[in-house]
Amino acid sequence: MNSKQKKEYVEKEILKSYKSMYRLAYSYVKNEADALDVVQESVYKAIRSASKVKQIDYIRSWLYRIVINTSLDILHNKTRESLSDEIIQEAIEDKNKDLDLIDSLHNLNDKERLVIVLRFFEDMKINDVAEILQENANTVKSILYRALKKLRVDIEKGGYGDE
Amino acid sequence: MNNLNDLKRKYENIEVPENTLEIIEETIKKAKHKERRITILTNVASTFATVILVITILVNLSPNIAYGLSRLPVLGVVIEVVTFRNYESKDNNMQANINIPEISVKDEKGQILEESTQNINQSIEKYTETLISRYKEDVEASGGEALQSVNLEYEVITNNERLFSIRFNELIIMAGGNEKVKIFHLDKQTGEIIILKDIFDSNSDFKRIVSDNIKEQMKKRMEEDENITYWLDSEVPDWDFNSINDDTTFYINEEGKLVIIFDEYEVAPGFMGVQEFEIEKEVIKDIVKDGFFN
Repeated sequence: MNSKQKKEYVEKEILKSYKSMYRLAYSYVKNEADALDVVQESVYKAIRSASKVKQIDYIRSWLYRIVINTSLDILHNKTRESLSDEIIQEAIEDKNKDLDLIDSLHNLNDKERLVIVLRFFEDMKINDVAEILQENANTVKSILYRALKKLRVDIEKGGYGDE
Repeated sequence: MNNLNDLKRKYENIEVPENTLEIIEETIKKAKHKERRITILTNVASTFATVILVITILVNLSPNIAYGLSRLPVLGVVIEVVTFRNYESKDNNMQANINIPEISVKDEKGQILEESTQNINQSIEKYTETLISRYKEDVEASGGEALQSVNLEYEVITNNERLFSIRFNELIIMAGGNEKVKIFHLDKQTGEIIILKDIFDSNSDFKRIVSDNIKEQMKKRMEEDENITYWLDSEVPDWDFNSINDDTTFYINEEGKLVIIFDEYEVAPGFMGVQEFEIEKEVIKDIVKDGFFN
């Protein structure tokens, strides 16, 4: 796979899963403007570093990892900035009213939230989630278990292992 | 108790703004563009950027044509480099060494043809002054702390009855920079500096004819060597080579063939450097004005 091909694959994957990228970003930054920023910056980074991709199978995981890192960067920068009027305005105007989801996810730490999102909302396999987190599968399973407990999800219904 | 499926449904209901795809496509384009730029700059930083400047004086052999008035026969015009000046500067990490030749154009009796001489020397000086002032600006902007080295040397590459060409090699070592080839042509018939369109019949379709020929050559070169890349039918159509212009850089080589020159980055990635395309006489023989080619 040469770097031109890699770039094409990355581009294709972006166009295929941009909605997931947006939602993933949203689950971190919790407003539309920032989520869009995250997606935009992630896309930019991904295209520019497409040559670093080792295997096609990992492109999706790799993209998500970029989104997560970018989200975290933005969050860190935010806490350092004081909230400008503009940001407050954006928060007020945010169209997404489904805050109880965000609230319940908010009780989780970054890793726990990520595992829930990737495993259940994005239907990824434990091994792929492990790849994104750069943890081994067993660690991911225990994070998942903890997260589900925190969410007080009916574990019987949800299940947490691999299919 | 929360139900995981409810949560999932809510997650999937997170509304993705309508214009997201648009923004993403725009960003992809930008990233590709930027990546190209970055590759280019890296390449420039690590190599010498060679800039070729060829100043050509076309000496027309037609007996009734003389520069200025007909009092001066053109046959036997002698053009030579008589002297040169040198601009040298060293500022901390930055240095410049620029040689500026002075050319004289004489008739066969050894009389200097003032206007012609002045014309060519002014053209050269304008070019070297640009180079020097750019260097000075860079020194001022960085306090001499930037790493930069500018060297300009010249060489007379053609000096026959027909053509006098002086070539400038501009060697710049620095991070970044987009250098251009500049060629001045002096038409001895009129004493005026001419551009590409002036050597073609005014109603001819020279741009299309020459551009098509160049595209063919590009394709052939790319087929023959996989390391060669031109921006032709590439993923960013905006960047593709489309057509030459009225004032695209050119010169006429020793074989009397038209050579089209493209600056670095103009039709190819930076590592390709300055690109030259020789146009066979056959291709343009019906559309060139008399007197410019053998």
